[in-house]
Amino acid sequence: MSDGAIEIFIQEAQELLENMEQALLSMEENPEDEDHLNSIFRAAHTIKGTAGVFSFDYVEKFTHVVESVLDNVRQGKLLIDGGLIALLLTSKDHIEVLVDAAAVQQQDPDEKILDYDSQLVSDLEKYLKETGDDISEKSNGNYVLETPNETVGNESDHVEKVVNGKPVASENWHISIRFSVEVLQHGMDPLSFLRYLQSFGEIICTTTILDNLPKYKDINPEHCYLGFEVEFHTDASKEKIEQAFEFVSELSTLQILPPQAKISEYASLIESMDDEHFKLGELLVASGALTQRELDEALKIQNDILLTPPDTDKPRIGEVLVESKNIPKEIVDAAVKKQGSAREKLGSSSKVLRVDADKLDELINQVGELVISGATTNLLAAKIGNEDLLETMSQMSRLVEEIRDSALTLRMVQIGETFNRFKRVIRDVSNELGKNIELQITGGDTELDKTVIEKIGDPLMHLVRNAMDHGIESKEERQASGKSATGVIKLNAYHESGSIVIEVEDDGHGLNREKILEKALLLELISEGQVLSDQEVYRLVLEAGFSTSESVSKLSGRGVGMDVVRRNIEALRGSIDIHSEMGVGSKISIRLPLTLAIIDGFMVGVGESCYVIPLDMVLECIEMDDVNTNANNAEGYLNLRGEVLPFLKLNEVFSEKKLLNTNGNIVVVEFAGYKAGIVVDELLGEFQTVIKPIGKILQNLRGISGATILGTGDVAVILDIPNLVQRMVQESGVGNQSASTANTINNIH
Amino acid sequence: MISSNRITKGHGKLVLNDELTIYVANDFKKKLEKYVNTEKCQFLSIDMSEVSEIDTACLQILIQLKREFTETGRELRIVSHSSAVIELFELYNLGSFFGDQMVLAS
Amino acid sequence: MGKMTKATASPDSGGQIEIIEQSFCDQSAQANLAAKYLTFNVANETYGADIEFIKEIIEHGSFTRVPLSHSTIRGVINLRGHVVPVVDLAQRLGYESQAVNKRTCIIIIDMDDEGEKVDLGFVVDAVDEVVDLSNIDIEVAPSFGLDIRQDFIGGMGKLSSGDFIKLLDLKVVLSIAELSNIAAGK
Repeated sequence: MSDGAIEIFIQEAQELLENMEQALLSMEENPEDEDHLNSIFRAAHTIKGTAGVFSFDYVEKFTHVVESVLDNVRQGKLLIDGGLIALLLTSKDHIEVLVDAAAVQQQDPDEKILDYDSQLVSDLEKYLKETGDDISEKSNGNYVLETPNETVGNESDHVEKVVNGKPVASENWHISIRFSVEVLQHGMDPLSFLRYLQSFGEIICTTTILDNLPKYKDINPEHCYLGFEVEFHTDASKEKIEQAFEFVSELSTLQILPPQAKISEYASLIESMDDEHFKLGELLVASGALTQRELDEALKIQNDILLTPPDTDKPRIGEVLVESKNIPKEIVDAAVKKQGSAREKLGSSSKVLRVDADKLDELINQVGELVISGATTNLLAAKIGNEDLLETMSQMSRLVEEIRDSALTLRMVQIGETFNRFKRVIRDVSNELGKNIELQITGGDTELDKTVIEKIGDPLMHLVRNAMDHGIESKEERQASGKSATGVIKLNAYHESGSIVIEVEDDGHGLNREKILEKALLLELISEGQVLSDQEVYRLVLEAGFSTSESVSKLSGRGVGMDVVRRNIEALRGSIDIHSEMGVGSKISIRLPLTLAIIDGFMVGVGESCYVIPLDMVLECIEMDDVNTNANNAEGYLNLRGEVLPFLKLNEVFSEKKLLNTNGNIVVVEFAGYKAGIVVDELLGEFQTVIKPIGKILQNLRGISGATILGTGDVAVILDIPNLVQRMVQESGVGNQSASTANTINNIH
Repeated sequence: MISSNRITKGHGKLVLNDELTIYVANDFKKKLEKYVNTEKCQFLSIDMSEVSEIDTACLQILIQLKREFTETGRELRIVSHSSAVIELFELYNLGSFFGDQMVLAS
Repeated sequence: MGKMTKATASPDSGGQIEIIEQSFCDQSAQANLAAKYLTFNVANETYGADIEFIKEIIEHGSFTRVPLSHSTIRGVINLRGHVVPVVDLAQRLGYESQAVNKRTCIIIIDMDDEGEKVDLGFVVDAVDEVVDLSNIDIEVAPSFGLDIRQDFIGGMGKLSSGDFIKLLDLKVVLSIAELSNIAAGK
């Protein structure tokens, strides 16, 4: 089996297991939910099946037990409760371990895992014994590896019994009716027919077919557009049923199939159905020819073959069905034909396309190159000054910009999945801590760059754990202070002016200002008698070595962490904000750029070099002459409309020669609520900046965050403003001149 | 047929009453047309507690309205059902299609 | 390569003769497969480097200085759309930075850093030639009397002229970890 196929298996298994976990967690709240139960079952079922194809025997064996339990729940033989859900969650984790051992490390699981395995299996078997459906019949009492074919053999026997050649399993009549459009105008309403049916039998299930219902504006209110598929249980004769529809039979398409109808009759039913949007599988289930279980089996087999080497053609589901002898060929042919024609009409309606992330990155890179060479061409066009050329160029620039934007959106993914992972964390950890914690998620559909999402997981995890551990109080404490016993953690995300904001909020006791100050003094982060605003105090917890919680738990609170979170966020060019109120709770907001690949830059000239400042930090530009400053130092303070503004002269900090003919300009930058002035020689304007990695050697360098290639082909360095300003404070000791402002800057990071 | 039908601040409120049958279907469709394809109404609540009779003709119109709301990411909810409405929904098995909690108005 | 030479150059006595002979045979078999070395000038000294790592040689053109970095990092250049850092080899070896002349070149190499390919350039005063050196032409570097760090030298290569040149161990000279500390002034 090729590695590629295994990779797909791993990826699929991970996705399925994730779905399984989410569904299990939802079922914890709402045990009746059949949709979730089905998706859990399907996940286990598919993993078992595909693991079988790859001969990942341990995965297959274990998942089979899980599946059997789930099947019993589905059939109503077993009631799902908290205990079983917890067991299934642990089982899901175990499957993950087994998949990892088999597919990633490609070896048998070690003894520890196997011990755990048999323990889980015996726990699961307890549930099976309750139902009398003892798995040990199949596995000889012991959970040992047997010939892999056995269970497969059993199942196909089972299927054989159910379908057994000609008649289908259904005990019900199947009525398929498409009313003609005029039926209402003839004074008849479909609902009266259904009501009449109820008078001599039981309608098991009605499926209302809406496919022929046109757009609102095209509806003729006096036409009938509905059709019905009815599963009907009665002892009455076919004549009696037909009579019910006597009045409409001329105007409508009616088919009545008896219980355990002949296959050929089903085939002709499918042939005559004109609902285009039905997928073949659903169509067979909807028309009662197959049970959902039989369909699942067929889908699984199709899936398995999909995973075999990519050059083999993917078999049609129809072939799979015939091959597994579930259903005679004629029925399938009719259905496949129908599906084919429906598909043709639908054209390219497939919604999601899986693309290799590397290919996407390559495309983004090339678009980046395109942006750069577009800029070069623009420069040339401007130099030549041909008006037609300039016009074409501006048109092209616009197109390139559009391509860039849509290329970048390809990488955008919703943050919801990342959020959802925390459901499990909160569930497990709150059990561990003996606290009641509820997770509320909003803004899960907010999109951001995949790279950013990948890197935000750990910091978020830390913040959530912190909130659970230190933020939310114990039940007793909460009740004593008049709060509800259940603490709430909220995860929220939204877009705001070109950034994404992610919030982690808890309704715990909030940050304790006094304790933080005490600790900060101890760590010599601040000096005695220093006056700090609340914001400044809260930011102190982001410093290394900071942890105020008296009891250090194993989850968080070792004093490493918040500073790591801060560094991770800063590495993504993001910032952190903390709001807190004693006794009410805390909210930590992370602000991140939407993408890491391209930014809008503001270019400045310093000496003979060009530098780029991220435009979203630039507040305004002023001429040096316009402000009142007598500082001739590299750094200092100036008076900006009555406000004290720290500044630094880039040419001196960077030891660039100063251009003689200019007094310099000040670019006022703002980040995380703090302002500073950057003195440069020239302002060169805004331009789109494709961020290029500057290489491992230079990435530790503080003060620069990357590089970009200009239209001229030269490289320009992108400045890391927050770091630069911090560096200036540290190195020159300007902080001593004005304690409060210096602290402001110090607390930026 | 309709006792209240207005949009305030993006929130539409529709109160239906008496008979919703093929005899009023044309009129019914026209009156509800203002909710189709409009940004002005992001959320529409429909009170059907006073509906004494409903047939397939008017139901179809509601079904399609619901579909177009869903397609454009807007929300249509039936907040209260009369017994006639519930019976029809059950007969056609449309409860999950509308996805509203079925509350029988007293 | 240096290690192998070392093993035969200082054979232990006694019971290991067989093994030594074995490795000697291996070496003579490899001697036919001569390795190619690029020789170049830095601060009036001739050095060689295994061409295995060398990707290309480009003319000395426009640089972008990286502010606040150590002067050993000469700057960054645009290499067909990639930003590549360039090291001042003279400074790295401990000499004064050399003035740019007509023959100054940048040698681009492909370093392997923890499985990741990293492009890197270094400045030399002039590129001389490519020479074939077999293992017997390479001797272990003397442990004293060198003007540069000993671990920079992978061996001494004996040219056909009879002169010896210092062969640089680029993995050490241009170690990513070391250079990144230097760049950040640590």
